[in-house]
Amino acid sequence: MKSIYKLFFTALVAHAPLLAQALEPLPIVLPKPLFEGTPENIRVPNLEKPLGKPRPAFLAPAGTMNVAHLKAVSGSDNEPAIGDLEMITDGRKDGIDGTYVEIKAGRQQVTIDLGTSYTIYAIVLWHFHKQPRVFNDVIVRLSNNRDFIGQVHTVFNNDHDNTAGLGLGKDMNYVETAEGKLIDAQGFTARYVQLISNGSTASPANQYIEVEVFGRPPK
Amino acid sequence: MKQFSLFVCVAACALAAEPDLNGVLQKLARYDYNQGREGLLEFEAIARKLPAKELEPQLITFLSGEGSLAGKDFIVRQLSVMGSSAAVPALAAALRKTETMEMARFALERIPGEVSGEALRKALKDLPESAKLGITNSLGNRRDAKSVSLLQPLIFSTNSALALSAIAALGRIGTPESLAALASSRKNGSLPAMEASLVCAERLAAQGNVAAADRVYAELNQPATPVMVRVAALHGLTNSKQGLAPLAAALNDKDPKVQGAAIRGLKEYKDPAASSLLIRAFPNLPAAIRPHAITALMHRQDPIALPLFVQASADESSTIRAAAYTALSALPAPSSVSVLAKLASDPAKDPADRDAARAALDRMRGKSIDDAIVVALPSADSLLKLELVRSAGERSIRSASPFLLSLLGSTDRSLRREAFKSLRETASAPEVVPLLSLLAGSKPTDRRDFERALSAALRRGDAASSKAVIAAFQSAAQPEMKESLLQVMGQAGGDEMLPLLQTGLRSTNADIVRASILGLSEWPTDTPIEDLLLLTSTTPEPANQILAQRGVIQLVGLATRSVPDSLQLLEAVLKVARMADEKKAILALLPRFANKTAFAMAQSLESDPEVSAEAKAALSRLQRFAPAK
Repeated sequence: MKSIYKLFFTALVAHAPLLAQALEPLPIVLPKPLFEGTPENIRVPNLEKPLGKPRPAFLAPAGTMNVAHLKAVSGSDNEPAIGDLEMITDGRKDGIDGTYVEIKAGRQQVTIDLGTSYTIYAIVLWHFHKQPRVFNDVIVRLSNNRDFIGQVHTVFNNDHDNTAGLGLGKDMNYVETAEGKLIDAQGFTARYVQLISNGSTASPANQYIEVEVFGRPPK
Repeated sequence: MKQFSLFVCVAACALAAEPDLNGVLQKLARYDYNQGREGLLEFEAIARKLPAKELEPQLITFLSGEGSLAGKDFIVRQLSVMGSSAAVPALAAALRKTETMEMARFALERIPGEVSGEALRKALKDLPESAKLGITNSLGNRRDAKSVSLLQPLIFSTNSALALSAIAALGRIGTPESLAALASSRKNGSLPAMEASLVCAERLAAQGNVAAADRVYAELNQPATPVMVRVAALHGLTNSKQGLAPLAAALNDKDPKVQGAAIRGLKEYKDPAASSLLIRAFPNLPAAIRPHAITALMHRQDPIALPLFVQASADESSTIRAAAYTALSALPAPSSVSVLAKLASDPAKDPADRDAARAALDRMRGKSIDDAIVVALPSADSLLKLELVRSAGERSIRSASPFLLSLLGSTDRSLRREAFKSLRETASAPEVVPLLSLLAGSKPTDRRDFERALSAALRRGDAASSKAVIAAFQSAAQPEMKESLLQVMGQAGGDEMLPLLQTGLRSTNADIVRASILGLSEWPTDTPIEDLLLLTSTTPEPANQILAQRGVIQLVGLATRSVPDSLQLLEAVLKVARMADEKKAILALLPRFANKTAFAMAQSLESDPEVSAEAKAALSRLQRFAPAK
């Protein structure tokens, strides 16, 4: 019982600044679901169960918006096999051909430079939602340093065996859908958002359709 | 004596191994359907080794013997494959017994030659009506022209199954006589007779008797004929010299199925007049049929259809518009460039239309299309220009590069952005020097775009391009320019660039050192590994020390060095690593160089609270190298 109280108060203290502000659902616009090909059985450990209903709204302070739209994207593969890194922040998330970028196989990273620091509440990322697939070693990090040296906040990590070399993660694997993956960024302040992946259950290459970073200028 | 004994033994063994056909046939005489297939397989093994001339008489004898029905069924199947006229009398006898009739017919149908055909015809004459159905089928399958007179009376049999079978057989026979035999039924409106006549006509046309076939198609292409028969008749008329007029008439038919058949026919029709005919008929066709007409015209690849495609691209029906975009892309014409580009760039259009028009513009093949884009670029308005710039990149039009370069100074951000993007696909050696001078005077916000365009040009460039970049680096006064060029050289690679990046490591400017480290860390080979290793402890900037550590780890990850060498390098980095991130990266690599040293390295980090969990994960994968307790 004591531990429940402790958990409640810890959460209260952590989110105290948020509670003091008016909260609104994030203005996430979802793409139309796509289904191509025959779905395969996905056998991945630590896999999140499908919710079976639309994702509940994520509340953030009023005025929170996608601050990644049309922002510069760099990455470990500057010559993607399909598309261009700029597609990651171009606002198109239909998932059809011509709206996603495919970068090299293996562990690869892309970094979005928001241009200035923002208080970030959530990140929504769409890797590929034409067919159900699970991306390996998905890691999302935030930092004010372009080289991710010093203070780095890892807000999502499902690399359960440190394959990517950025530490063990406890988050669950998930199946890509048109809803994208919503990650709670806990209100950290950062200019750079780095996303890592290591291929998927369908292909060793890494695809990105869109990444949206919901934040506001820090007070 | 010894040799003789050996010979006797070998001969005995050979005899023992000789296939015993009689024994197997005896087994087959007792074989039944519910038994195992061993005996059948044994027979097949023997049959493969024996010549047909030796095998066939024994099978014929078996057939007239007292063997089981299942055994005879099996043997008849063998005869259907390898039997000759010699087997016909036995099979003809079997045809007259109810229990063996079907299997005998099966074999007789397949045995070529006049004797087997005569046996079937005789059976058709002699046997009761109940047995005739299968025989008519067999005669039809054999396309037995001599049986037409026997089959014709059966068309009028009161046994409807037999009548249908006879009609179908006459159709399959495919001779003028069999067609004539079907005439009265066909003219009386019998659907099976019409269908059989179509089959017959197809056979006749294939044999060169096109006139006879055309007469049938013309006769069946009448308003009173069932629709699907008309559709088939129109299909037949596609290959007829007299087909154009009936196909044109069918375009105006009230039934969309008939109209569809006419369009399909005109799509394939050899006469060029078919295109004009389709174009003239297009406005009067129902909306649902028009996309098919566009596809047919596209298939004909006739340039006279272009104006129609352009007109259809503005149609109110999205299906017609989509067909028009595809047709325009399949019939490449310079005049279509502006049509499609305007559609793709029009913000008032539906996004799906814009995407389709864009895709069509990119799909059009040919240098004339590339030239049309390049010519249209300078005078296009801003939205159209944006679209043409995008397409120039998508189509990798090298000749568009000079104009794209001129757009890099544009105040229109979208246009500048698109020009950079396209230049990455088009720029090559001629653009290297202009890009270098533009980079030198660029704003900080555009610098990264310049770097990417320049490195793309450099990759497609020649030795002179590399020399130009090296010269620009050596003469650059601004550190930002040097930093940018180091990034470019790192991205482009190339042995001639390596010394410059190595020199950059010794710069007193921390940003230049950083750029050199990043360039070397991405190097495709492990050549710079020692340079980076030296920097892990010597460079004064702590951030650059960390970047150098990451660089070594990354190049070790290429796995081009031996396991001991790789571990030695990782151990050296571990000694200077202060941050948890680099230790975690080393722990991730250790299982790839698994041995006792790797195990010991992971073990040494187990007690480090910052990386203990990662060390345990590495140890679990290296467990087999744990020292024996």
